[in-house]
Amino acid sequence: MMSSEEKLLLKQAIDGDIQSFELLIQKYQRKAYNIAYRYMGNEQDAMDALQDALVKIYKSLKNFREESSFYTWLYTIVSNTCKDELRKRNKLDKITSMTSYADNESGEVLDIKDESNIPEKLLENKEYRQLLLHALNQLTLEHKEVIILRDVQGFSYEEISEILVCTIGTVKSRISRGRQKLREVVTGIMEQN
Amino acid sequence: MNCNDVINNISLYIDEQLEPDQSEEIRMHLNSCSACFHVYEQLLINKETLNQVPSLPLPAGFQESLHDRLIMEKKSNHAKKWKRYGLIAALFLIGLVSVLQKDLILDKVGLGKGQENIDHYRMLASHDEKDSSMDVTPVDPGSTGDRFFTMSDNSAENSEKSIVSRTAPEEEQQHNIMSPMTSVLRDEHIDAQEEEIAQGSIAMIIQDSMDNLSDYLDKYTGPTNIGEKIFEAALDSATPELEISVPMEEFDSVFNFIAEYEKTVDYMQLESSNDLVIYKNKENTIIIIIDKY
Repeated sequence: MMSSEEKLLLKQAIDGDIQSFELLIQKYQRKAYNIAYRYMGNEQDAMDALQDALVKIYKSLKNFREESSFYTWLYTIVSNTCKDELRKRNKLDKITSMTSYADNESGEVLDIKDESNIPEKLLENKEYRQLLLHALNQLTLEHKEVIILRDVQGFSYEEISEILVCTIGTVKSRISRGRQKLREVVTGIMEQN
Repeated sequence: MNCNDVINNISLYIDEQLEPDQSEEIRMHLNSCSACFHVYEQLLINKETLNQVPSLPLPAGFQESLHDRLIMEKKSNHAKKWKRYGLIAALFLIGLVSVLQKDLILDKVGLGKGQENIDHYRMLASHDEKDSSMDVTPVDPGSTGDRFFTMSDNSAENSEKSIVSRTAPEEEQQHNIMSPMTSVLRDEHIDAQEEEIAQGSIAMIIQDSMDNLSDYLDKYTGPTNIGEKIFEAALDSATPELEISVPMEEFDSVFNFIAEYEKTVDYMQLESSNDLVIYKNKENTIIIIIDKY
């Protein structure tokens, strides 16, 4: 639920006050950007998609129902905007550019050579993290997005069901299958190296 | 629980989404099954590794860029609101003008004089929320010799179509997808008697769709220039396509406002040669007026 301060900002934003709107979304922007980045795969596209989403939100604030969470509503619009954009580009289910090896957090190319060391060192292994992000892009969008929301962004099952507008049962099922798929893709990549 | 059951529920176990007794069963199974434990270990590592993906900062300039877009959006919203009131007032005024003209035309018919110069233009406007491109083409008025301009949709799909030639009503039907109202009007022959029908139709539609017209007019604080109102009405029509009659003496006003309006929003580029005037947005021709009498 919204705090009284947020409610006030919302009211002022509905009346067109841009500064109030900016204050209202301030604490959600970074997370929203990170979600958009994982969907879109690069900074520029993520920034464009997020701005499109935030403008949409600004335009449709009057449609927001206060009984639901503002931040899940915001992330829903961010998620939908990213997916719409990807659909436009016909990238759904064949997204390869979201976070490639060369587009990871370090820009380094992965070189996983020693499989025998992986279990012990994985948690500290930056390369493995990059491999996971790369493997994530091999999944279908519906599996990938739940893993991004759950494992990367740390949302609860309930929050994910609100953001993706689906049941908790669907979220559970997608997370479970998505993680299994991710494990298979990672295993496949490691076997190739 | 067998191995399949455990694997199917292992993700929920990791996220502590199971009932305590189910969790306990899985825990006991994992203690005794190395294959399942291996899967469990991998999934747990993946989850924890992904959880460590660092949060990226917002790109430089993001806030400023967003702020600029919000300001633009606010201005746009304001203009749309403004247009809405303009539409209502314009429709009302158009209705009044139509009724007044009806009497004038009937007088002329009664005198048995030619109809060469009935002071009247006919405009058809198409509005799309994203692309308000329009054409204005002269319409052959038929045997009466009246001269009309038709403003019609010129979206990307039909931008290739010729809009230069004088267009007979039948051809116009192929030109655009018409609303029921415009279809009715376009099928009519443009002679004095049917002009009366057309004007009657407009007035009737205004009546039908504007139950609270007087309320809206009370609130209307928009432009007072009739051309401005008519153009705003065309752009912001509640119906996808709106056919309106414009008195000849107001045509310049309407047209000039279109030009001024679009200039102010940096939307049109103007090309002009002799009697041919072309307005364009980035890709599509918006308005062509040829042979303006």
